[in-house]
Amino acid sequence: MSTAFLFPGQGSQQVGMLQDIPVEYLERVAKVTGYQLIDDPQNYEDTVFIQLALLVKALFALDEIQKNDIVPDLVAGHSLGAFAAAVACQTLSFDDAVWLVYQRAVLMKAAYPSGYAMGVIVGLTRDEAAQVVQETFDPDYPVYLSNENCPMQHTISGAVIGLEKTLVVAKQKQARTAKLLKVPVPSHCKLMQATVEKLTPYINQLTLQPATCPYLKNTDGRLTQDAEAIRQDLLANIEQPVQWRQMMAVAKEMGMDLTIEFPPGNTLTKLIHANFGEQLIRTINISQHGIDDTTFLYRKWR
Amino acid sequence: MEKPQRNWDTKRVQKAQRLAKISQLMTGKYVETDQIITVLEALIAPGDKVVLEGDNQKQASFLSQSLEQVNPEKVNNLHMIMSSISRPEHLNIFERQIASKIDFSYAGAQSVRVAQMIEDGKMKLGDIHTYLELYGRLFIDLIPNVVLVAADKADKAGNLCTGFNTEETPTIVEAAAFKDGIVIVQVNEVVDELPRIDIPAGWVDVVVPADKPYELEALFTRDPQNITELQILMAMMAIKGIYAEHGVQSLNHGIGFNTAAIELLLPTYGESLGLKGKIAKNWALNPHPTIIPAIESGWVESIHSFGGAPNMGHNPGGRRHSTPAWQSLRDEEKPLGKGQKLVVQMVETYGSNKKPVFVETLDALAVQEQASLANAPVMIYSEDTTHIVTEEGIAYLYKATSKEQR
Repeated sequence: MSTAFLFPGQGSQQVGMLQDIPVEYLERVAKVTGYQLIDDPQNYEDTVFIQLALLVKALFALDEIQKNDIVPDLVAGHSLGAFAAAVACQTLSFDDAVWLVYQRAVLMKAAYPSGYAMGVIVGLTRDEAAQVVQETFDPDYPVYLSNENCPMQHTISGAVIGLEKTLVVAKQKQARTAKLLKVPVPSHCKLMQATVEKLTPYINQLTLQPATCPYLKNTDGRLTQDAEAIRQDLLANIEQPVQWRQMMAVAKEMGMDLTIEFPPGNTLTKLIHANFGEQLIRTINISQHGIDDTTFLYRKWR
Repeated sequence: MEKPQRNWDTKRVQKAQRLAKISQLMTGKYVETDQIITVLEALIAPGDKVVLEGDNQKQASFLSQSLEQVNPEKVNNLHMIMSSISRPEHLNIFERQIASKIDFSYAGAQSVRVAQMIEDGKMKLGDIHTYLELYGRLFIDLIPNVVLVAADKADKAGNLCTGFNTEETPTIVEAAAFKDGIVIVQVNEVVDELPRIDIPAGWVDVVVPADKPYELEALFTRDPQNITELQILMAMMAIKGIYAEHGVQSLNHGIGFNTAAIELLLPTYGESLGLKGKIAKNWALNPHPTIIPAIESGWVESIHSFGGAPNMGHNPGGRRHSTPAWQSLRDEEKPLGKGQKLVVQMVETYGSNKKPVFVETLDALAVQEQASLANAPVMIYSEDTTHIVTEEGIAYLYKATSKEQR
C-alpha cells in the first residue's frame, strides 16, 4: 500500500488556471524572481510564464493537501513537474523551487525563442517511433525522440518544421495520434545541452535536503532519496528523455496502489490507466475532485 | 606414520555454534516475534546462501520484511536464492547492500527494478533458472546455509502444517535440513495439536510467530465471462485437432484463459464429439473454477495439484510413455524411437498492444546480452514444442522436417 504524488509538466497548462491561486502566492513569485504572473491568454505562448504558472498551481494544491495530513510514500513529477515533486519530498523549498524554475525557463526561452516545440506520437512502439524520427531527420530542422510516457506513447522534440514532417510520416505508419504539444521549447533532447551547462551554476548555489520519501528520477527511472542525485536529475532532465513509463513501473513495483495527480489537468492519470488499466491502481485527480473530495477519498481508501 | 586428525562434521559444528548464539532467546524452538531481527543477525553470516520463500502466490512476508531491517554491517553480501522476486523488500535488501547476488526463476512483479539493479551493478546475477532446475540445484550446488519459509500452523514441538498452501515449503526445508543448514519458519498460528504434520519438527530449527499472516495472493481464479470468443475458437481447435487427434489422456494445463476455455468446453463441445472417457482424464494443474463443470460431469478422473507451463512445458529427453499420445508422435522408421510428450502453445497472433506476437528474434537475446547470462532465458524451446494453436489454425510442428517447414 503506497500513495504516489504525481506532478504534470508543460503541455498541461490551461488558460485561466491561476484564477483560484491566492494573491500571496503570486506576490511571493514576484518577490523571488521579479516576474509578475498575469493570467492572460497571450502569456500562454511564453515558456517562462507557463513553467512558473504550472509550478505555483501545483505548489498551492500541495500546501492545501498537506494541511489535511495527506503524505506521499513516493513522489514523481513529469519534466517541470519534477520541481514540485522535489518540494513535496522536502528536498527543495518553495522559494528555491520558484527561483530555480524561473532561471531554467529563462535560459530555455533564450536558447529557442521561436520555431521550436514538442510533439506526441501515440500507437507506435519506441522502436517504431525511433525509426520514423531517423527516416525523417533533416539537419536544418532537427527532431529527436524524447519522452517515453507509456509503451505506445512517445514525444519528439525539435524544430517545428521538422516536427510537422515527422508527425505526418508517423500518421502514415499507423500512429493513432501524432500532433504538436503546447510546449514552445524543444525539451528533453540534445538541443538543450548548452542550457544544462548554463543552469549548472544556478542549481549549485542551492542547498538541497535528503528527500523524506523516495523520489523517482526523470532521467533513468531510479528511486532515490539522495539530495545530490535529485539535484543531478533536476538539472539533466532538460536534455534527457523523461523515462515516465519506467518511473511508473518502478512505482508500481514499490507497491503504489493510489495516485494523487496535482493540477492542472489529468494527463498523468490517463497515463496510469494506459500503463496499468483502470482496475489495479486507484487514481485521484485534484483538478477533477477538488481538495475536499480528494481528502475524503484518500481517508476512505487509506 | 599417524594420519593428521581430521574433522568430518564441520558443518554440524558450525550450525551448533550459530544456534548457540541465540540459545538465551529460545524457548524450545520458539523465539519471540519482536526478537526476529536479532535472531537473523546472529544466525545469518556474511556471504551465506539464503533461500527466501516466495512464489507468485505465497510469501514469507514477515521474514522478508525483517531481513530488510537487519544491520548491513553484520549481515551482508548474501547470495539469495528465490524462485520468484515478487515483493519490494526482495530488492530493498540489495539496495541496502545486505545481499549482493541472486539466483532466481521469475521476476515478473519486480522486473523493471531487477533490470535496473543488474545494470547498476547492485545485484550480481547467478542465473535465471527454470523452476525445476532451481529446486533441483538446492540439493546439488546451490545448497543453502539458511532458509526462511512460512507455514500456517506449528505445534509446541515445532512440527509444521502448511494447510492449503504447501507450495515449495517442504522442498526448501529439506534442502537446508539435510545439509546442516538452518531452517527458520514464520507461522501464522501456534496450536496444541496440528490437523496434519507436513514438516516434522526435527527438520526445523527456529519457529517465530509472525506479526500477521503471510502474504497470500491466490492468482488462479479465472472469471469465465472474461474468456473471449477467439479463445473459445482456439479451445475448440485444440480439443478436436490435438486432444482428440492424439488421444491425450494425461495432461498439464497452464493458468491462462486459453486453457481455461478448453476446460470449460469439455462437457459441452467435447461431449458433442463423443470424447468423454477418451481424452483429458488425468490432470496435473493448479485447479481453478473453470475445471468444475468437467469434474461434475464425470470427465475428470484425477487431479494432482501442481502446475505451471514453465515447469511442464518441456520434453525431458529420458522419459518414455506407452500412452496413445506419446506413441502417435513416434517416428515409425526409427527402431529405438520413443515418441514424445505433446507441448502445445496457444497464442493469438496479435498481442494486447496490437503488435505481432510472432517475431524474428526473441527479446530474450537482448536480456542475455544486457545481463551477461550464459544462456538466453528461454522458458520453452522450439524443439520441445509440438503444436502451436492460433486463431488462424493449428501448426503441427512435430511433422516439420526442416526449419523452413516449421
